[in-house]
Amino acid sequence: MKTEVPALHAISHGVRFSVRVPDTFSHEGVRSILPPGSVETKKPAVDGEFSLEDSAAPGVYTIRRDGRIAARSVPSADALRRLGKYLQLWVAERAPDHVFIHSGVAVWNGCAILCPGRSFAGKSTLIWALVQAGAVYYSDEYAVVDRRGHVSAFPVPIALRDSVGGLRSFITPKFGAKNSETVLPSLVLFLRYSPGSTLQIRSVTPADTALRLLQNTVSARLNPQRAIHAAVSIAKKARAYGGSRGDTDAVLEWIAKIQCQV
Amino acid sequence: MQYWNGLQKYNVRFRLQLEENAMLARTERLVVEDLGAECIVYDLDSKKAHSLNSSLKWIWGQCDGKKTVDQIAKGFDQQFDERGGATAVPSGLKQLASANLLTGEIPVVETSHISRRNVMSVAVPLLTSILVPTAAAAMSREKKIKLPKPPKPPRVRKR
Repeated sequence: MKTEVPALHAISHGVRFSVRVPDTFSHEGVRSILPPGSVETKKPAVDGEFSLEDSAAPGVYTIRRDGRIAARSVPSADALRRLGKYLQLWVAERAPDHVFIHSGVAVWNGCAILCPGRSFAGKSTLIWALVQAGAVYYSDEYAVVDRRGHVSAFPVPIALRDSVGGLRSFITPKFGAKNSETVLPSLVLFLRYSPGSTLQIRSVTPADTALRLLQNTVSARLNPQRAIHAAVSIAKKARAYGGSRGDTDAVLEWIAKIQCQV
Repeated sequence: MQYWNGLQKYNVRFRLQLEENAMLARTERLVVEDLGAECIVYDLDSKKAHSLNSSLKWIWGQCDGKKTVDQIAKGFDQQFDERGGATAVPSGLKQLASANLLTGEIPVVETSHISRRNVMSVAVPLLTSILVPTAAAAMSREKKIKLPKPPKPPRVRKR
């Protein structure tokens, strides 16, 4: 007989949610996948209810959001991590005071660097290279932008992929910023990884920077006015470059050459 | 009286001709953010975001429903200290019309090819558009890896 597991209630970036998992998973495991900056509460959630449920097949789970199926046939080894991804996206879409841009963020030599881009663009590899070179880690997933255009940390473990694109490993950098720390972005890099290519960089105009940031903004459709305002506030202050890159060493050398200060 | 009627008719015809060539910038259901010389426009209906470069922003600003294409072209030459207004303005209007940033009936504007030399010299109006993604589209994805199928066991024929 299965035991009833009490739901875990939490609030992150102003969004309330509850998480319920089967007894095969511990609350400690659930706490590890909550979005950074989450605070547990005793009050029941009002914004969203997430659950991980057993499915008919053994060792396979279904993720539900407000009773609706979000993902099915999720293997148990990956279930909590996938649930965490859905929680992050939920918070990112509905956060009332912040705009979440899909981007890596690190501060290196006093230069706050944003690396926005879709999956497989090579963001995580570049952020990991910066962290290895001594940068302070802020985020591998989202740049959390406030009304003034400042970015706060969202320090989830860096997810590095193998050569065929599957997830390989998760690394938690030692020198990460705290959730409350904010920084004004000074450099935005829209670089796409192209195996074997040399570094090809050209500057991007403020309007195109805002447009590209908007392309990676989670709540762009739900709240376009706020999303555009955040993208524009970054584009006005930061220098932006786009292009393709091969090895990360060349990018680090180039960043070190240009004078970039917070 | 006859003279007055004739003048009115002339005025009406003249106004019509003017309006046929005059274009009006759309303002409804748009979110516009200024970025100095450039601007960003979000269309709440089509969910598309456009970036207008400096010359296209200027052309869009001139579409007040009164100025004709020729007048805008002359103004363009003065504004950007160029002689390419006659080419650049129709090209810009065509881009604005295709992005649904003009209202009313858009007259067929003849556009000529902008040569490479002109691109270098004229302030070429440029519009870049994107379809703003849904929340799920902005999420990190994982490649599905196809694992090789296990070999089938050899068939044993029954006799």
